[in-house]
Amino acid sequence: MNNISQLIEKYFQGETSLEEEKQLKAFFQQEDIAPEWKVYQPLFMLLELEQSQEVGRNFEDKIYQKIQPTQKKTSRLFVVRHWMGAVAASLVLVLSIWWLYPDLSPEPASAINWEQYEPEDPKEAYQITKDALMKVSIELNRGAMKAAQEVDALQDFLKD
Amino acid sequence: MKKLFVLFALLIAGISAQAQADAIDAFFKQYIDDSRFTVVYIGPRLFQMFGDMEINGVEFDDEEDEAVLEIAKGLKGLRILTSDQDVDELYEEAMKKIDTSDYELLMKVRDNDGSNLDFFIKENGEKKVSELFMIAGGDGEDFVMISFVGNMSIDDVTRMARGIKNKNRY
Repeated sequence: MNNISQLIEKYFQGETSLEEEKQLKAFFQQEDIAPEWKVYQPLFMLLELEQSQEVGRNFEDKIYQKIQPTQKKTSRLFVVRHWMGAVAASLVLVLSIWWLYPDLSPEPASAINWEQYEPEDPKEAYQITKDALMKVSIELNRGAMKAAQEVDALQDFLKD
Repeated sequence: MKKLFVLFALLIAGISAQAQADAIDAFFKQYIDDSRFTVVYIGPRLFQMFGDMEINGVEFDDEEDEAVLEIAKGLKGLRILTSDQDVDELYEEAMKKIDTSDYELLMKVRDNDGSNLDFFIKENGEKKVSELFMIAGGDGEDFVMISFVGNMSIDDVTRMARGIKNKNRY
């Protein structure tokens, strides 16, 4: 019994040999143990139990099999997120440039090559611009006059 | 992957550019080779030259020219489309083709002689007009579409309405 006490002390100091540990485990497998050793029983029974379990033959392969699919999944997910993030970022960038600087955006692309209809002489171009402005001005005035006449006519009608 | 981004950007650019095209552009696409139309376009390059013309000895001395130059400063494009054939048909067609929900109707006159006159503006913020667009057509008159694109102020438009030429008009 003294021996056991010494072995336990050695065990907790980490100085026991494998042989001595076997002795300890064997000792604690007994049913009747002096109350002073009773506290250590669960520990050594557990150690014995753990050691009796064996790792299966294909343990490593199984582990790899379990790990690999999830690894692939996460990496692909990451790529997709990364990709979409980049697209979103560039969209935001492009759109915000448009919103912030509408003057920067080029003249709208057109299916029509308008330049072929451009007069070559700036004087002619000026005259056309002037005429167009006059035409618009005259028509706007005419429209306003018409509206005014209608109102007058309506007022005359209401007076009668 | 980068190519894809570029494609995306171009796609978006294409869509919004189409959405931004002015009214005449939208309508005229189908009539490019149609000989019934007379077409005139004045682009930003020519508008910029107006200012230099003064320096080059062309005289702008009356109020009218001053007003025209002032307005032209902000213009980016002027498109004029006229036809003296199928006037009514073209007017109907144009009103159908042009998405007028993009515009604010400034004025609409339908005369009892069958002539039509519509003014639309596209507003761009407070007191700013990015497009002024007129369409006229009807009995005995030419079909006319005029579109001014650029930065105009409401003041410019009302100045036009008062008549650029103040003397002896109305």
